[in-house]
Amino acid sequence: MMDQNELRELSILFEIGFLSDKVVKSILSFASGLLPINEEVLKEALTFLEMVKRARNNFPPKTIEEDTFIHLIIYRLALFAYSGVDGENFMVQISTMIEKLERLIVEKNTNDEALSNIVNFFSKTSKKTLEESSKFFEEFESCKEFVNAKKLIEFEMEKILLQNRLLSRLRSEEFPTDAQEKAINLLLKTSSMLYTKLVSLLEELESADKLPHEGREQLSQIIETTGERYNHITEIILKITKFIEASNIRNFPLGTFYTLENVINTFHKNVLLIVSVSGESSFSYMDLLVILKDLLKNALDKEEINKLEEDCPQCILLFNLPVFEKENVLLHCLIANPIGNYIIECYRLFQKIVKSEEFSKFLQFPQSINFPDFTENELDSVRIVEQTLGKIRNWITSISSDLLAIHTFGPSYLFAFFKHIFYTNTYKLSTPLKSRLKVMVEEIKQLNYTKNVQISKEIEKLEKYIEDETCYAKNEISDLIPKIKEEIRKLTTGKRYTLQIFEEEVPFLVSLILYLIPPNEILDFRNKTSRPARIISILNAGWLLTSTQINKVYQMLNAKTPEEKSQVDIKLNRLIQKSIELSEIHRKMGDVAK
Amino acid sequence: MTVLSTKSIMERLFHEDPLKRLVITPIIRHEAQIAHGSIDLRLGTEFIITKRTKYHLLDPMQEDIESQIEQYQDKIYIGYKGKLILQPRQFVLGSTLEYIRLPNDLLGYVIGRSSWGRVGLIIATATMVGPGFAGSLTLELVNLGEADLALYPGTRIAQLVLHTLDQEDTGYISKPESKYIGAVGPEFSKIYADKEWKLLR
Repeated sequence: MMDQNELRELSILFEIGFLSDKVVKSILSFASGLLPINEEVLKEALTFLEMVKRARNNFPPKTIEEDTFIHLIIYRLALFAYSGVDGENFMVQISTMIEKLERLIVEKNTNDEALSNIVNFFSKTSKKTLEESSKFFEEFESCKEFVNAKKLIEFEMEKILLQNRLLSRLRSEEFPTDAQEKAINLLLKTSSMLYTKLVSLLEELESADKLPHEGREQLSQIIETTGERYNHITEIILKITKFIEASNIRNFPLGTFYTLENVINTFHKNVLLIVSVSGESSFSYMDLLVILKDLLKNALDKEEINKLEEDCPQCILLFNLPVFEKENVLLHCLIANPIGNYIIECYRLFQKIVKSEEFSKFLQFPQSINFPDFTENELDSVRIVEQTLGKIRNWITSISSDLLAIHTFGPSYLFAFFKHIFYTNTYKLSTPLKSRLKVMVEEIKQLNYTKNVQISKEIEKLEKYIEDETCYAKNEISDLIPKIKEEIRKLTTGKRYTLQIFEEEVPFLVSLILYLIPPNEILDFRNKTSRPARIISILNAGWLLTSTQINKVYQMLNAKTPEEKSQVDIKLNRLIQKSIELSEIHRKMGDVAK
Repeated sequence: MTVLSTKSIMERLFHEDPLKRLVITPIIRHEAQIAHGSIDLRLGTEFIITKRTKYHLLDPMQEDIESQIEQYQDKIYIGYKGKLILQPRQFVLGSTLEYIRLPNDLLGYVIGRSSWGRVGLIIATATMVGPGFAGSLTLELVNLGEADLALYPGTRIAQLVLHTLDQEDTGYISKPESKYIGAVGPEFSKIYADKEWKLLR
């Protein structure tokens, strides 16, 4: 499955490669001598070239700004398009193209011969971008067997109809909220827009019969390229549809949904949530509307895309749990990580942390570089810088998400993280494990959770495990950690799960589980009243008990063999699941009763 | 053997010793749910419904009875604010929303609420709750009326009456044959686990 970052990258590729229907068709048609090029396309081309110029002038970037990463990608793509032209000065050519474009736009003479080298440049960029996106979509190669454009378009239309049938059928399934229904409506609307576009492409193709043989072939080629792009879009919509199908109420414990809802609502109230399961080993999320808008940006008109947003003004977030862990409610504390990624994205935390950060310290790179005329060498340098920046972004995001998770889930996140990563070793790690653990352990200590004797013992074990932490860039990153902590603290003010709540609720809840009583209610013995326990406290109690006192439960239930112990583990897991659900219903019904 | 009064129920619910404590959780409003020597119980969110299968007979003596029971029944979930429609003569297993754990000196009986009974709803056929029992109570729901009934999770559907024993029992939890211990929703029948089948075979 693609994660949010990969989908974003893809949308950037589509965008900066000028792969919009309008632009690609316009450029390729002009190159084939079929159609004149229009002013709108020239303006977009000019914007692209100006960005290349800016990126080149700021290379290597001295500081990390908001758009540094996108500029680097644009620069690399431009170099791609230009590679192979030996001995020529890349920037002189870019500047010449800019001048010509400006003149053409002012004179409104879009059939000038001066366009030809500009168009060649963009044709190459478009092809390169298509190549990259095709590589990205290696798994979706099915359309290759179609030799002509008409079949491809018809195939896409058929696929959309099948998707719509599946989406309509999903309406009768049981889902926890109406988020799925809204998502289904959104996808149906998107599909019908795409279908209309494909119908008009087919009509266009049929009108090609009137063209001479050569022109007909060229137009077919252009439409085939467009069809391939639609294939990518429909494949992604199909994947999203499958996730919605898997978000049926039977597929995962409802407690996990309530946990997610509680934490997200602390930050954003107006969000629709979908929890689904996938074959991946990690927990991830995607923002449905953002993905659709990014994908469709280059296939539909702006007005059409805006209509989608009008129909669905709320944000729909789709969270994925690994299918093999879908029942393990304690491990679902790891959902805090994608929640963190989403919050970090919303609050643009990466930009706040690295704003004006000196880039050179992350990279042993001279402050000024004299590139030779050969663009291949220049391309390598850009690749290195781009990858380094990507890595820094991943590290900052991982560490920020971990810290945010500690502040919202308390020690339960650290327990879940360590167990999942240490024992299964399947987590996709972009940041060294021990570095992440070290930051979390320090934060747990700083927040004084080690006042609890059992937590303190667990932390001691973890500290032994991470004492040999070595990370080749730890000095550079450690400079950033105080900044990250500061931003996370600002962000979680008034929204934190605190030590005080932990001490008030968790020890009592642990005492309940020890007697096989669901830990969903806090009793006030003096006043003979009760209130629902906080969901995060239930998870912390579950982790604390399973990590430190599970043997007492085995003993009480007379479980001696591994099978008997595993049965007790299943029973406890169900007890925790039930408790989360009960505390949530208690809270909702209690609020109504008030 | 006496029936526990409202006051005694409250005292037992807030007993500081977890082993002597009567656990009925959650109780959303004590004053509304506990009165006249009984505790109102709410309908839970999980149900087991009967399916039409190729089996025409459920015979506990058969070897594959466990899988037959699971094929004959299906678990469904109705979330908070959702509803289950119970048709005339339909039989569905539900459970109490509350998780119950009785101390070893108490025994309980689950009975229907008359307002539901008057529209034809029967809630339990196996009504005794043994000392030391821990779990949600499975309710055997049948609509004996002529019209469909809409059942909403969270509504008060049954009541529990508690009796003291003349002496403490060993407790359900420690008995190896305690089939439904710690259940948090309705459970498929485990009739095949009864010891006497071995004697009858």
